[in-house]
Amino acid sequence: MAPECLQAQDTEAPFSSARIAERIDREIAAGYAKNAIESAPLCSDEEFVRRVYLDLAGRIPCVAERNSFLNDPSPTKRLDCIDRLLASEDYVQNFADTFDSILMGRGPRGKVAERKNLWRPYLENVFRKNRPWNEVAREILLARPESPDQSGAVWYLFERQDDAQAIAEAVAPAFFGIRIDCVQCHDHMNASEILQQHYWGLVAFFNRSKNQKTDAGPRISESAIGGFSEFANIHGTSSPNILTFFAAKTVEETRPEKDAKQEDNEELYLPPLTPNEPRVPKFSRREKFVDEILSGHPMFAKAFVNRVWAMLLGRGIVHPYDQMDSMHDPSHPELLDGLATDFMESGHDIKNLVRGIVASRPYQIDSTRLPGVDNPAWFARSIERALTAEQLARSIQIALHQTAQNDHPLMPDLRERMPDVLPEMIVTDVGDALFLTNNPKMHQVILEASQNDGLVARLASNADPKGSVDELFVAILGRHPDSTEFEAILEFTQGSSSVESPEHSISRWQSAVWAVLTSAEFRFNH
Amino acid sequence: MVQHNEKQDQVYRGCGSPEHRVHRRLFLQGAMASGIASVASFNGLFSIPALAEETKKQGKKCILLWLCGAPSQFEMWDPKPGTISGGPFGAIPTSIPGIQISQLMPRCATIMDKLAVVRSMSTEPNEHFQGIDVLTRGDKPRPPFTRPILGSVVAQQLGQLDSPVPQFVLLDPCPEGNEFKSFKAGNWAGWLGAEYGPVRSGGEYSIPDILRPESLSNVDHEDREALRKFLSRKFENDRRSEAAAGYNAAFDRVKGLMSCAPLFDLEKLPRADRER
Repeated sequence: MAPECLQAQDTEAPFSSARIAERIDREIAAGYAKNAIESAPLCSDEEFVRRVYLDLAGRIPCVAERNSFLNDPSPTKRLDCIDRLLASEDYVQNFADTFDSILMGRGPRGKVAERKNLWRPYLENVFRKNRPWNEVAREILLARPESPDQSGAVWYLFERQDDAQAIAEAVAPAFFGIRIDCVQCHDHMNASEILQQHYWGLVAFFNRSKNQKTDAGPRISESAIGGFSEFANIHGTSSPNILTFFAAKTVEETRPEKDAKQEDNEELYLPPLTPNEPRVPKFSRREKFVDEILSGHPMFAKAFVNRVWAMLLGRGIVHPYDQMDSMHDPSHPELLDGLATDFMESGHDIKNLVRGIVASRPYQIDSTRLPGVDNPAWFARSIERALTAEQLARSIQIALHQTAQNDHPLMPDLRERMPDVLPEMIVTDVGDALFLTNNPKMHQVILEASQNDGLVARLASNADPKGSVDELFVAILGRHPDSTEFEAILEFTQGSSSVESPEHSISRWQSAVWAVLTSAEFRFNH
Repeated sequence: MVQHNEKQDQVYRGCGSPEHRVHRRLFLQGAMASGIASVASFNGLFSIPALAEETKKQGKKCILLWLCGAPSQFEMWDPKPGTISGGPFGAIPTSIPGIQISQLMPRCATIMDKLAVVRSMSTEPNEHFQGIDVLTRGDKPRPPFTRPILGSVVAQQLGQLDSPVPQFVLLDPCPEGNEFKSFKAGNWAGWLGAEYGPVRSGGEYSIPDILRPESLSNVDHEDREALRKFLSRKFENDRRSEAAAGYNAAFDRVKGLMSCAPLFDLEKLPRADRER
């Protein structure tokens, strides 16, 4: 990855992202008026360029990128910058990181390697080619690849190793924005519209599926028989696991008589088209699911726009973004409906949605907390978000070396230490503070920045220490120091005992770089 | 229960004063207000100064074993023998005449006189996570405020912020978690602030990154932390940033924790203790 020169890709004409941004501005401003509040002003260009790089490119801008944006005289430079980033490979990597976590969960360390060959390239391609989200969802859940570049989609089900309950519990929040874990044993206690039969219905769509290793790679076979069972509620009453789901129709299926033995035979399967692929049953539950439940489901587009909104604005229009039930009302219902409609009409165009949101005013306002504006659901100021592990690992490298690698040694450790992606609220664990203070790899990063043209080496060798203080702030925080900060750093690095030796000077600059790098300002996107 | 070992007691020197020598097991027994625990409502629990003072003086501590997804009460403490809801297992007598518990716990039955079982507990919310909230935080949520969990309340009321030992420890044998992962990841200290949050100790019960990098001197370590704190607090204050406030509070615990590093060094525990 070479951040200095973002690689341009095919640029597609924005469909209606201006319309999306206008809708957002209108609906959010209506909320301000209703609550009689004033929103924060637009953020400065310095703040904007850091924020938008973190959100779209998954890292802070390097100094050259920052300066080129700040010096750009064009009145449309924010939009131009957004388009440039959306066309970059950095956007692809950043969104692939986030959606890997959202769709698969972090999992233990080994998962990254397991997902590298099939799943990750598939996911990258989704964002590189800006594939329509409905097609992607269909490929993932049908898991019957029609071409080699779809084969990675299989991994979503394959990694869950025939565990239909794990599949159901992952599918509901990822594609429909609701959690069903609670309704395994009983109808939802609070969100009464979510029923136990939705849980077991969703399980049934996947309980005939089995992992199969073929010459063409991992596949998910499906049996034409079996998968009928009853589930008992807490009162002991049993019900059949019919093929149904929340806010969807019930798929008709002939149930065998109780205790009747079903015979499996070739008649029940389609004649094979390709020799290596698993046979396909004539009545395929997975196919019924994608055709009759997923396609056109009222929550499908809403769940996606709400999640992307949450990624970019710090919380969902429904919060938490994966509990879009009657317990959690949207803060701006018309906006949610409108965005979902725009998204569908654009052909489930992911990039277009992202472009619309980051072009809107609520995305581009200041993050400083205003007196009297306490409710984050008003979106009257930009909500701070913690950098994800990947964003942090890359940004540390950019700050110190102006370039970043995704296979940096910090990456796996940070993923393990700070696994959260879109947490419901920001909580800093004491363990995070210990990591940033003492972790050997973190320490190594500072030591490496003291060599060659690393930041510490540059600052320590500069004959003008005042210039170094400024460079320290610009490189790490993307802004100039104010006078108290300037004095503090100058005193810290040039104090009476500091000019003793070059080694001592290096060690003071190492400490200063560490201190700025581990300050809250760097840790958050604001 | 304690295997007292003079030699081990000498290992830890903490802040340098002899009162702070603590053996890990003694610490676990004595110095810690630990775990999540529950009483009816914590809001008023320590509001009587005399009670708080007395509790502090006695050095009372609290260990809560919270079994997320344990067997039901019918298979444990309240078998309800002979009823429809009673479940398939039988009941056995205990060391207290008249009290029976599940046949699955014969050893607990022998120490029933040392246990206090509450069978009358029920919560108004009947949903799992809301029930957990009521039990661990004392009351139902009251948005936009987040109530602190009991361990944080105990730490704040009875502990000392500059204490060199953690006052609230979460021993989580399964950090990856199950469906209760979101509960474990929640904001435990609530409105008390992150400095009263738990110190989490994962599957190995050790705390990672508790030792200073070898090539960094203690003076440099303290100097750079002072600079970090100045910059980070300034950001917090200038922006009135809640995220930064929590972040800075977490760093405030680092010094105390680093000074108790030997407590969490399992290698320094007597073999006999480890094997138990």
